[in-house]
Amino acid sequence: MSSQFLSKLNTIYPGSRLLTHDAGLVPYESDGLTAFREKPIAVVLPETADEVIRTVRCCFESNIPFVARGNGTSLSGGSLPVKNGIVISMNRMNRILRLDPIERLAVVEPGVINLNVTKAAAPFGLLYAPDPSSQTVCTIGGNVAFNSGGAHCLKYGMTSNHVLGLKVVLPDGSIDELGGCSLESIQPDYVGMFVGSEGLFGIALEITLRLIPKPEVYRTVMCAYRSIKAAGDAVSQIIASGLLPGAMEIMDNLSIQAAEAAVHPGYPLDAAGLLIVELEGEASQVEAEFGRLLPLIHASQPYLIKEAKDTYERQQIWKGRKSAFSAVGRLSPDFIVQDGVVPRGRLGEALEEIHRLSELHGIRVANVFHAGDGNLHPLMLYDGKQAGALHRAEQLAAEIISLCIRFGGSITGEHGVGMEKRTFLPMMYQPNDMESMHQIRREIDPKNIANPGKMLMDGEAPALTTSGMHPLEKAGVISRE
Amino acid sequence: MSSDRILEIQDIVRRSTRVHVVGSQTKTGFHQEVDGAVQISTGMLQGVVAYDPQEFVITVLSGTRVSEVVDVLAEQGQYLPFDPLLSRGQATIGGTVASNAAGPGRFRFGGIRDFLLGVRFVDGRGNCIRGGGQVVKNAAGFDYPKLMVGSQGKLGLIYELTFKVFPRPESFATMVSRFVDLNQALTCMNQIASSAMDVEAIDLIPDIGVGAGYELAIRIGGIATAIPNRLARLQKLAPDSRVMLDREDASYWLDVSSFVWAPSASMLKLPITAKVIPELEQTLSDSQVLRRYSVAGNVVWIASPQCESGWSKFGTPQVFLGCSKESIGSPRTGPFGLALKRAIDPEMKWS
Repeated sequence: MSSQFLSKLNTIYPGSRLLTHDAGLVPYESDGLTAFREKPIAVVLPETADEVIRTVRCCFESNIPFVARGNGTSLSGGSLPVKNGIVISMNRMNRILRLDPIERLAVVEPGVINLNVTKAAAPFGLLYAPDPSSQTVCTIGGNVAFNSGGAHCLKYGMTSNHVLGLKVVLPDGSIDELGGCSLESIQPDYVGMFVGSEGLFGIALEITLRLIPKPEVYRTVMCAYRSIKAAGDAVSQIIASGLLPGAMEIMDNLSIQAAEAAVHPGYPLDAAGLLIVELEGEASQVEAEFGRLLPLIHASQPYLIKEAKDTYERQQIWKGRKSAFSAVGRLSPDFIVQDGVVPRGRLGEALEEIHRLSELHGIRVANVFHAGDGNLHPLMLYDGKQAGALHRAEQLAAEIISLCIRFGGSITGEHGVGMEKRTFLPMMYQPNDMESMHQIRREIDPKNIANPGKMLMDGEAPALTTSGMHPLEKAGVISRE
Repeated sequence: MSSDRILEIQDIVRRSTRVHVVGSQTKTGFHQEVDGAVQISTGMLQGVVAYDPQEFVITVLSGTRVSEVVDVLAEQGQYLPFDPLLSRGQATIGGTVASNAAGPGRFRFGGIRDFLLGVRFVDGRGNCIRGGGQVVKNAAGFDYPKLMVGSQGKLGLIYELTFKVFPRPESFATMVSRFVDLNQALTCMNQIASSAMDVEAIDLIPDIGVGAGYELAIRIGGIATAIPNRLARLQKLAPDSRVMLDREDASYWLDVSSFVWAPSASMLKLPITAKVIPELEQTLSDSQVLRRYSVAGNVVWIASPQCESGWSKFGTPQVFLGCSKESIGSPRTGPFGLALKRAIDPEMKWS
């Protein structure tokens, strides 16, 4: 079966773009969630949409599962190979097909790197809003599959809110065009349904992205507190005042220490909690907002307030924040990061509970989070070589996820369910809701070949292994936010 | 009481071969007589289920009037940034979502799809399904809330909705500029829409008649003390203009989203992009039909009882108010949409 299938693939790809030998397959065994590994039977490197379509049709005819993969930065194991399946590597489909400054949109292939869209739009004063921490390396195709977030979601939304149209190949090889170029629509929002489906609905071949004008000015302020609760209270006061900052981020002491050691952003090392607030928009409006923000911040009694005086200082503040996870990762051979969400008003309670659980399990936890939208990022540090350490870290992770559900939040704010949290999805939804999702998957993918086993529990799970950082992470290219 | 009503609805769906949901029937273009269908109203599903202003989240039952939701939010200085259409009358929040009825103000922060966080609905099997969540950020499971936007009751009866809401700007102002020439008006519209000036709404309104020109209406919102400065900046780009503040501003936009500008007419909605406006205007200006380009040229509202053949290349419009559908048809549903319908409503009960 396998050799017949491979010879079919051979009719689509030259040998240089069809990898079947161990040495070629190893880099694709894992993604940003390094605790899982699985070797695919082959990796193909399509250069055109037509090749992707033919590959999917070939898989459909032969009942071979497939997973599309960009640069493998998924933190939920979303692009982990499926057993006895192939990986369709989308990296070579990395063209920006059209960028229209008047319509403010870009039509891109899925292998385009997130930050490259903003770079291409910059000469026109435009940008692509979703900014996951891995934006220098993660691809738009992966962002679409997992509805990636970033630091600016409260005001601007997630990936889904910036995708206008999609050309897709469904798991049975049929083609569909969803949405279009307009912000408005008269059909059900099929684009919104496809985004975040974690590869279960097929592969996006062309993606129409909305671009927005680059804010005229930014005002970024960093405040250091003696307790993390005080930082959280400041966020509540800012929200209650009617201001709508573009970003509000909090880091705890462990994260501050690590970030400072790694990239020297000038963070105060003795702070228990660091709050970053950023306003952005039209100059006179932002100045007026800043005039309201400052008294609120003073009233929250930070022991240090630092305003970014220029672009360089702003970038320094953000550099520390965005590098926090890879920096904390250096403190420990292994780590697990999660991205559960709690109602903003219960952040303080959630952090106290995480602290308690951390002590109970003897696992150190660093916290960095998007405070504006209640999106936690607890980073659990462990040494995989110690007997039982992985198990304890996983147990802690499970308890933190349960806490998010109990508090009325979500098991994932931006990383997706993937392999990692698929056992938790049924805790967040009722049996009817889960059954409906399965019914949808069965209609769209009757042979269960499109990234099976992710999000929904119906595939074979590869065994958990202990392993260190992702190679790209070691190189400091990506980070786990 | 609402839970009893939902049980009753589930029972009706299970017993019937065809079912049809209605709210207050304000969007008359969506009315249809379906042979043998049992009509189910959301009228009994009223009220705010949960609202915590600190969380920027509100959950309401689908039969609640939009005006009630708007009032509840306004008491806390918040609003629905997608700017619901027909918000002053009987229109329900469920109907607003099902018909994707966002107004001109959706230009600033996004449409209904961008603010709907969670839904509960009764599917074609009579099951209650919950999708999405109650927090402002969530990436778990399929995104049913988005699928329900514009679903027109054909995927089920939405009974509960959770929205993200924002603090309402404390002050608004609108500048209306006159242009003789379409190209000048479009250049100004595109320049402002692509600029770093934060604008709430941009509408382009063609005059009707011989030698008619164009009006460009631009609304800004924010802190009151910053408004004069921002208006002055806009006026440099569009010199022949007048300004509306406070009540005048508010009543102007309420009239727009209540379609007061096209009384007793039928209303077609056609999603477009700004690029097609010159060509579309050649067709429309001849027919002297009332029309309004909204959301910086992303949609045109056409006060016409029928779709002229000349427009067909711009897409199939949707009948929003009045007139019969037969002459217009509906957009093609592809294999993805058909598979979703089969999964959610396998016996094709919802119509």
